[in-house]
Amino acid sequence: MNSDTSQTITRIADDSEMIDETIHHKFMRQALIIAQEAYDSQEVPVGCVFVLDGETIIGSGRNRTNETCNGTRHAELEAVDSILSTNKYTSDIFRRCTLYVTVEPCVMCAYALRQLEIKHVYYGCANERFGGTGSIFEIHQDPNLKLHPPYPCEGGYYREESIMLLRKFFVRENENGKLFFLYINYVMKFYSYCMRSMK
Amino acid sequence: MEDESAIILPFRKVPSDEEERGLETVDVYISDVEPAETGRVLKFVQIHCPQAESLDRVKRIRKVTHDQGFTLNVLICLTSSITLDNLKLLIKQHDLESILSLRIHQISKYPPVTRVQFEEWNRLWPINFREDPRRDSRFSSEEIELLRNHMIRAIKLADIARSKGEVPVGCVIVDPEKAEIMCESHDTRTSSNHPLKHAVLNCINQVAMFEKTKLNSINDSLTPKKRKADKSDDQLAFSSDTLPELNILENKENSAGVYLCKGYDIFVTHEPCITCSMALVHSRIGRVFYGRSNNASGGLGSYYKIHTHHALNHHFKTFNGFLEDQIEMLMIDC
Ligand SMILES: [Zn+2]
Ligand SMILES: [Zn+2]
Repeated sequence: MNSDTSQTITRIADDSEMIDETIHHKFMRQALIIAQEAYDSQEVPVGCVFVLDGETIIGSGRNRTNETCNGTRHAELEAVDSILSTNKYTSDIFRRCTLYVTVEPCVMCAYALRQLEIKHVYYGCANERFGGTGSIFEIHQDPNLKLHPPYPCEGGYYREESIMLLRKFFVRENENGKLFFLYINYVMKFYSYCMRSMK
Repeated sequence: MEDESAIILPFRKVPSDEEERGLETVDVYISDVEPAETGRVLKFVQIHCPQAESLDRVKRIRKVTHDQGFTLNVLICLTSSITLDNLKLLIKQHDLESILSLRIHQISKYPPVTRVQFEEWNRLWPINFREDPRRDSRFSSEEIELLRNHMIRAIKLADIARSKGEVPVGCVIVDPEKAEIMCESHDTRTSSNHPLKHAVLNCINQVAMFEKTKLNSINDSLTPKKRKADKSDDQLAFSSDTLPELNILENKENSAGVYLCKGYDIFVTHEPCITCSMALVHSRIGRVFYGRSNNASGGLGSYYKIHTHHALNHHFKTFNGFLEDQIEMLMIDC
């Protein structure tokens, strides 16, 4: 059902002989693999990795909004929580970290990253609806915000692959959409019926 | 019925930029016109003069009363859309030279959104205005008492936080229909050694855990094989032009799931930071009440107005200054 994307992601993940590939592309490939994982788990396919001192991946995360019933569980926050929950690192580790994320961070995550004083952010495709590092606001470099330093943020790394994953996700959602909507409606009606009859 | 307009609110609405906008003007050509000629002149204006969408909301004719009776003025078009010479030529071509004598006049550049703006701007040139009832914020004195109790609870939570050595910010999320507190929390970034454990984010996470448990038990009792919540696409990405499929997801907002604070109120001692403000958008909060402004990173009035930003897909009313004299000043990011 998702073989095309899997193949593409696997291809770019395996192809170590890619010419002209920067170190940033290499880490972005890892983020794409995590995004594919989100896709396979029926989540919006966004993935990210945090890289320490430009060398080591110390944590990764993907969107988990549906599984958690929580619209704020974005890839970036998932990764941050997993890094801090190990007790291996304290929060000042992020000053030495670069983030690679397949989609431009939203406004929420953009300021969260600023609070963590992230060193650098690279993303795949822009986030036209919620983007906080260029699309809607420029939180990463807003000079009025004085508590935390600005950070550089650059997009366009494996942009097409990031978009393709999202596109596939929405096509699939659309196919499942009608059935799913009916199901949820049924669940909610039944639930409110139970609640009413309990009173 | 009590007179609601007489009630002094213990908080202020945090207005959008549109609501706060002062008068800005734009130049138009107008002319006096004899009542008998208005039909002919209006037809000329409509068919032959440049049209502008911004003129749809203003009246074409105004009546100026004076000692000798009244005079009618007709609005022809924006001065930016045609030069005076070209317009004069156009008038000549349609044999209206003797009827129209052009002069330049100023009208408001933007449509008013509040009654105060309307009353001021309408004096320049009459405007068509219908007040949007959703902008109206009236509260009964009973409701204000309920709101006050919730705010007092949030302040109490901030006190508890301080006594534990935490950043003193507290908040509660309330279902206003049932007048029931859904969850309450305070800042825990110090004890957890996690700079993002803000009161608002903590509270949203709690509501989510509560919803998740509830949903799992419903799903268990109905269809044990299938567990699903509503879907969120908020981490995304494209406008609906790029991906028409998105609309399908947005239509699902009526069901529960990730839009978990839909219709709820949040009471928080300090203005939420940009991260927390956007988290409230992602959770589809109903209304926000806060006490003190956050001069370091406030997202609901101080630095950004995330609750009214035109590019974001969810807007909510925000009120500030609620019991602010009872809330400690906070110079750090909250
Ligand atoms: Zn985000
Ligand atoms: Zn915050």
